[in-house]
Amino acid sequence: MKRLPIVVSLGFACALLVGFSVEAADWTQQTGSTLKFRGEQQGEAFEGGFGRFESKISFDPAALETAKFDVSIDITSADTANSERDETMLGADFFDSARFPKAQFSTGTFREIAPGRYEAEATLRIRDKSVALKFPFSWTAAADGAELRAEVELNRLDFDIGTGDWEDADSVGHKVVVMVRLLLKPAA
Amino acid sequence: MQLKTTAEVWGSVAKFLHWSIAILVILMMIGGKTMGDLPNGPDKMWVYSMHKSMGLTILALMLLRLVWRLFDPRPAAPPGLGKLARTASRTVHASFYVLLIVMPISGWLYNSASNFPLKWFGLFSVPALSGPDKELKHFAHEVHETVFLIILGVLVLHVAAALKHHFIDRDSVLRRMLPFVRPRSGDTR
Ligand code: HEM
Repeated sequence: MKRLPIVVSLGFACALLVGFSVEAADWTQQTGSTLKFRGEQQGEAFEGGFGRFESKISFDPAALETAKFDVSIDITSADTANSERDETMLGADFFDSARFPKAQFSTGTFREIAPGRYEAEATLRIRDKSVALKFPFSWTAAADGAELRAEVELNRLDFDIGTGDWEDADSVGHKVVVMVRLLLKPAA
Repeated sequence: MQLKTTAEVWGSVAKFLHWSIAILVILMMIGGKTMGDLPNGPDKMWVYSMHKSMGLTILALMLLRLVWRLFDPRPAAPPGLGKLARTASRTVHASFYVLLIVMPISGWLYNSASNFPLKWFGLFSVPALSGPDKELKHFAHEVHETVFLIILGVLVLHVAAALKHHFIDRDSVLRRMLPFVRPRSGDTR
């Protein structure tokens, strides 16, 4: 049983590594984190946001291969401070939140694109449409946590948001910019 | 073409403002009352934006008209018009100035408090009068609806009076406001 010590020490090392990386790389979302979007209606910009979303973030700049984001967005919490618009936006022609109350964002591989800037291969599912996209973001470590910021441009038609008559870009623009700001604390 | 108003006849500026505003207001009252029943969609959004743009146009025309009126007094009242009738006429006309300025402003305020963007005929952005505000939105909507009813009432009086002058008193009050009509000079009857 010569190999036992090796197996034991390898196992021990793995446990240490896992234990260490879990401690170092898991983050919890703090209040003040925001998920906003900017669209266009009849050529004029408007802004809105999702009041409820939950992110599971594992990220260590020194170990990008262990990084993983999973964000669940409560579509029904979408708010553009305009009750008529919100009603239409959540209705069957757009988000159809009655049938698709959640959107899901998850990542694949990560790479560094500049100091403090990274990009993840990601998948975003809204309604029943999953779309692959690049998710570039900045990561800033602070004394008591970290801050993630990202801005991604989406085309609402990729997700079947506003089809039929609503495809008309003059009434509702196709381009939607999503703005993410996560305030993170190391998970306890 | 007589730009300024004389003792006998309204000038062409006053006539133009009167009739363009009259046509727009009537279209707006009919459109405003019916557009809410349109099925939700881009077409409804377009109709609403036309309503808003035309309403702002009325506001601009009314402000022009108010300024013009300060420098361009009305023609003389027909002789023999009673004191009550004069007061009634002044009151009705003054209330139009107030109502047709309050009406578009309440619509604009309603639109602003509802947080809808507004581009005048798609050409340029009109600033919001307020931020998103549920209570203000409700208030402005009440004003818009109430003033609509008052305008309707005043309009009925206004048209009835014009027709009475024309068909019963047989004076020149209606004729001197009509476009393309040139009353003989000295015709104040
Ligand atoms: C003299 C100018 C205007 C007139 C005569 C007018 C007339 C009307 C009328 C009759 C209604 C229906 C109200 C009711 O339900 O009883 C209405 C609704 C409305 N107006 Fe105006 N309007 C004017 C200007 C404006 C302006 C300038 C705006 C916005 C910038 C505006 C925005 C609206 C909106 C959004 C509604 C819909 C309310 C609803 O759907 O509940 N209006 N208007």
